[in-house]
Amino acid sequence: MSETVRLPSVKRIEGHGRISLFVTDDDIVESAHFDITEFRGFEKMVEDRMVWEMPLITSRICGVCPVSHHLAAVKAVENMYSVEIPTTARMLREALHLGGFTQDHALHFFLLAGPDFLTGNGEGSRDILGVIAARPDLALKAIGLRKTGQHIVETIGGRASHPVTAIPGGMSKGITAEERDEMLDMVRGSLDDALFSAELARESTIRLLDENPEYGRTPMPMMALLAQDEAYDVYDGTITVMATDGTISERFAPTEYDEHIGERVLPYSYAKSTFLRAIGEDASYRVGPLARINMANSMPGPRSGEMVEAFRSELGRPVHAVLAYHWARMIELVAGYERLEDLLSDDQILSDEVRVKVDRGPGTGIAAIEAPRGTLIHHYVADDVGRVTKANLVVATTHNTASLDDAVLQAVAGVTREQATDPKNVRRMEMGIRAHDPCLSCATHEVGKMPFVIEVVGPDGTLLERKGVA
Amino acid sequence: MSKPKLAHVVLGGCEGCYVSLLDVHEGLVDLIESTEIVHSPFTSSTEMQQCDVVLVEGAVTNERDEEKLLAAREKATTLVAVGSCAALGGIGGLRNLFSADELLDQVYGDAKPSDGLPALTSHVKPLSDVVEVDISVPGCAPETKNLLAALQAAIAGSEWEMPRRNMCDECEREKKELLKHSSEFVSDAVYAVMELDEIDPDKCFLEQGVVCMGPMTREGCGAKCTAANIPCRGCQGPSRMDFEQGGKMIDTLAAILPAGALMYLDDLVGTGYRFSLPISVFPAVVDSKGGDRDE
Repeated sequence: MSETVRLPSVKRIEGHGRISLFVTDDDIVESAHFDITEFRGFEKMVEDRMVWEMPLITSRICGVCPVSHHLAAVKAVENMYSVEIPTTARMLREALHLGGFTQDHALHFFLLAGPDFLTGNGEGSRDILGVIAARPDLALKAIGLRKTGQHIVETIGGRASHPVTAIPGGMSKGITAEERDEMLDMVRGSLDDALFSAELARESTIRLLDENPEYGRTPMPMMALLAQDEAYDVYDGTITVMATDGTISERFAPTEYDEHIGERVLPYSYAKSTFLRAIGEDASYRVGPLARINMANSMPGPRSGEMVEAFRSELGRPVHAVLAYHWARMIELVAGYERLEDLLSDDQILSDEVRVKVDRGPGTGIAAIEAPRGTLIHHYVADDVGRVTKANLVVATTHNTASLDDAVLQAVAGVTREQATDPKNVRRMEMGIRAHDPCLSCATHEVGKMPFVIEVVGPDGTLLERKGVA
Repeated sequence: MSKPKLAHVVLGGCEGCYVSLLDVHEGLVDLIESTEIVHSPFTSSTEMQQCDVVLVEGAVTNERDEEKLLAAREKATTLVAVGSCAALGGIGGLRNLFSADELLDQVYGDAKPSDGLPALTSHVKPLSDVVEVDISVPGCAPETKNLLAALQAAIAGSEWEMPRRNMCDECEREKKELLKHSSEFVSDAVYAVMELDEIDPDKCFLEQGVVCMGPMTREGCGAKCTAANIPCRGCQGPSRMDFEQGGKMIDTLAAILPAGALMYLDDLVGTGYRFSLPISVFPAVVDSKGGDRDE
């Protein structure tokens, strides 16, 4: 049974994935969707809550990247109250974010998507258990990388799951020198594994692209938050759009997102779909690691910088192949460790000036952050005592809706209904979906391993077939 | 002896409980070697299998969740409700402040998606509203050590329960004024943490005028939030399932913080019932026609 969630206008992908295939009278697949069938309603639920509680409430949208929601929410409240936070708080938050980012990327590459390509082609090894059985060395690397990331999240964020310390005005607490030293040791100790992962991702990506020469390469614009001069920065910056030919076509502050990004309801999914107003409702774009690595003009350190060069000399710029997401993701893992080492080596991070006082009041606050899966936007309006009267959240996976549909369709367009649901094609559809990493739930749950549902719909809209795939 | 068979089912939630289980880190290898995982988001079987223990995370939010939960109950000897969504309804239960129709109307207007999507249940429910639950591990997310302890007990066939005192028993902050006999409130107003000039790292949050759910919340989390200078938000639910977490909040705090300020400067429902609204005896929704929410 497949099902997926998405917080409607309340976003979060979760639950299980469903693929819908639409066939003609001749039983030929002519279009396809990857649907999200779960609904939680966060945007409505947060109305009447106090706006400074948003970092603690919205982090519960996602158990995999709670740090991203925690920080997007706190930045939105600070935008509402025009607050400048102390440098140390900014550093702590960025390190917290990167702790979450790196554990998330390691989880996805090795344990969720990894079964696609790390353990050979045996069907039996195509799940997390298969990775652990077939390549315990890789499983232990993944565990080690996650442990480092989660240790950082817990030390700075107070808890490993759903961290709590980012408050409007800064951080509720700083860190001690001992805590810093321990985190720095772990980061340095994990760097070799990160480098190993990036090399493995390079080899795997090139192999996957060779094996699937025509697959998933539809050119689309890319969107990411970037710092000045298009420098890589996942904590803050300007939302930037790169056209399919690689030129920069739009730059705007997160506060102006509504003028540039539209949302529409899809009849078949609890998820809304976003579009770039400048291009039109039907046009699609991509976000996430592939977009960031395509667009960044500079990286946080020399190693990730060289890797981006290698990525471009091997695949070009911009790269439109969705299977290249994996390599881009692991370059980001290395970039995360490089940046963490810089942040934690700087004694400024030990200062106890971690917050300024903030008073409640009315206002509108909007902020964006780069979540592991792409640009995440939080938008709140509050009344005189700071109660939320309206909220809008645009989550990363929403931006990729069209690219996800495209990856599914490309695997099966023009083939017969029978062929579309044979294991080889199902695997290609899955692989394309997983490359985007549409959040643990969707990405793994049913879809991450095989159990998910394919529905075949006839030209008059009737359901012809529903097939659980194992 | 054959290995115990485990299954893991995910209903409406955020998967944070799953991540908390992954946070056993190296222990994961042992866990996987010592058990046989017959059904989970990560294994290949589509159908729920016969098993000794099923871990269920997430709340019942739509008709498919109900089907999956009934299948899990039928096939498993022991059913463990993992996390506050499963045990209490959880944070997603705040949608019970609205009827499902009202919610969909507001989010989608006339363009409500419906093509083959599972219908929402009228309200979010904890597992115990639908099936018998053997072990509950509340927490958002539950601490990894609690999850492991519950899992080991479930495998051994023994009982397990979280401690029943309140979170203040684990919290190291000092209470002084709260313990004095006085007719004065401990604070002249109610503040958000961000509004404090300084956050006193040692003093009880209530004595600083900040609403803290510690007195209304079950212990077992290790009081990590208050140690990190953040007041408790009650994620482990009430220390006894049969009392009202939000009701007790009003009852307790109105004696120590100015009641008017509490009403206007904080969010009694969203703080008091943030994780436990679905187990409250109060009907959350009174519809516009004056009746209770549809059952």
